Amino acid sequence: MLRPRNRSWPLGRRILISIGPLLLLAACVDSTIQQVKKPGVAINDADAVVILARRHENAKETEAGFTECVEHRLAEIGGTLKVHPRNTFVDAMFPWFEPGTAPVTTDALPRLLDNPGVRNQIALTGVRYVVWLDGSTERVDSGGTMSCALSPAGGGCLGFGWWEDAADYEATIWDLTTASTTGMVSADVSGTSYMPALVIPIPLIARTQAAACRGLAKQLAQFLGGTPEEAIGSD
Amino acid sequence: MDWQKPSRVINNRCSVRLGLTAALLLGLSACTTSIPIETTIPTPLIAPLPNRVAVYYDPGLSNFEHTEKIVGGTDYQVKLGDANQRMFAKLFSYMFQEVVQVDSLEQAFADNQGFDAIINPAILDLEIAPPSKLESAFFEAWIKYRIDAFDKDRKPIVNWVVTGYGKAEPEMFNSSDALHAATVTAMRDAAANIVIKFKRQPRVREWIQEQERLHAAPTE
Repeated sequence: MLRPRNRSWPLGRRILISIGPLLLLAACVDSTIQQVKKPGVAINDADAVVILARRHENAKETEAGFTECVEHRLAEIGGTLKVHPRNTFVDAMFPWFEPGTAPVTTDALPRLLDNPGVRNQIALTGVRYVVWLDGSTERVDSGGTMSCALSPAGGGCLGFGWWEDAADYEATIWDLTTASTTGMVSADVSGTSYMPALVIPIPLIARTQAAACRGLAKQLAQFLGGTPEEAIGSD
Repeated sequence: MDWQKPSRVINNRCSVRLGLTAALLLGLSACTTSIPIETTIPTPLIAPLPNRVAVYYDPGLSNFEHTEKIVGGTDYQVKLGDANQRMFAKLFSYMFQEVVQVDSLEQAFADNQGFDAIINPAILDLEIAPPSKLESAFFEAWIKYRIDAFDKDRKPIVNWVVTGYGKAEPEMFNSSDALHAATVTAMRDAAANIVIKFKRQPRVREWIQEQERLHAAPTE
């Protein structure tokens, strides 16, 4: 007599179906975007903004990809806001905005602007606001185990891994016309990624840095008034 | 004696295989990545000094190469070629009102062409470091130049060592681009330091003041 066929799904699939939706929900990011704004900041059609990254001679530094992301995102959602390409600006202002020579505080701005040709060159670029990015994305925790095997009959992995990334960035906005700081925007984003593996590893990645980029760019667009808040929409 | 032939053939094959394996391992262990540096330093935004100077480029500036031996890893050979000389030529052409390239220091001193100063730049060192778990997650580069300047009476004005630092994020499977970027950043950093800080060197400031007095004095 034939035994009745077990209709239940394999254990691996059952586990995956059970925890999958939970993991999808869990692979999210938690964002806090804050801003401090000096009253009376207004931008007109002729003014442009440039996004620059602070450079430090240590391991932590704003990633080039993040600066590029904020620049592109701000240009996309900024409406009438003009975003000047950072490499063009730094080349045009050489040697005054190089990593080792750029002013660290606004106190150094008047002296910088007094150098021959600097004020005129800034006027030619049209840049009024300089946004200095500082911060980085770091892996703050990780855990889990996973083992993979390969045999002539096939291969696969079994296990579960996770890691948590924290993206802490700060954007300080300088007004070159008044040689002063007009405000600050910060983004603190954390996200936990998971990778369950039942034969095939399934990465559930929390895009922490991308979320920080979107949040910061959106807040900068509002700060600089390039686009009304409602026009920016949600991510 | 015929029965020994196959044995010899096998031994020869073994030798060939061993030789090939050894060559492959040696080839892997002695792997060197060559990185030619191409860069253009932007036009400096400065006012030139109202002086006529001669520049003698140290021969090392026109074809500089540096090989960094990495223990247990790929060696890197950075080929700066004439990038240094082109960089100095551009900087000096904006730092001084008139610049004349000379073939030797003696020529500059002997010709009596009315040079206010004779400048002799040289490259002293280049160091590069790949990312390290213990120290830095970046490709890093340090470059060191020396600028000697003399007045027309052969008296030294300044002997200045200037450095530049650069770093770049590593790229997956492409260390050459990151190392190129780090080296170019180090050169730009040194160039920025030269443009801004040359005039601030105490002896150079004295020389500038002296030149101003000389140029202001009425000619008889």
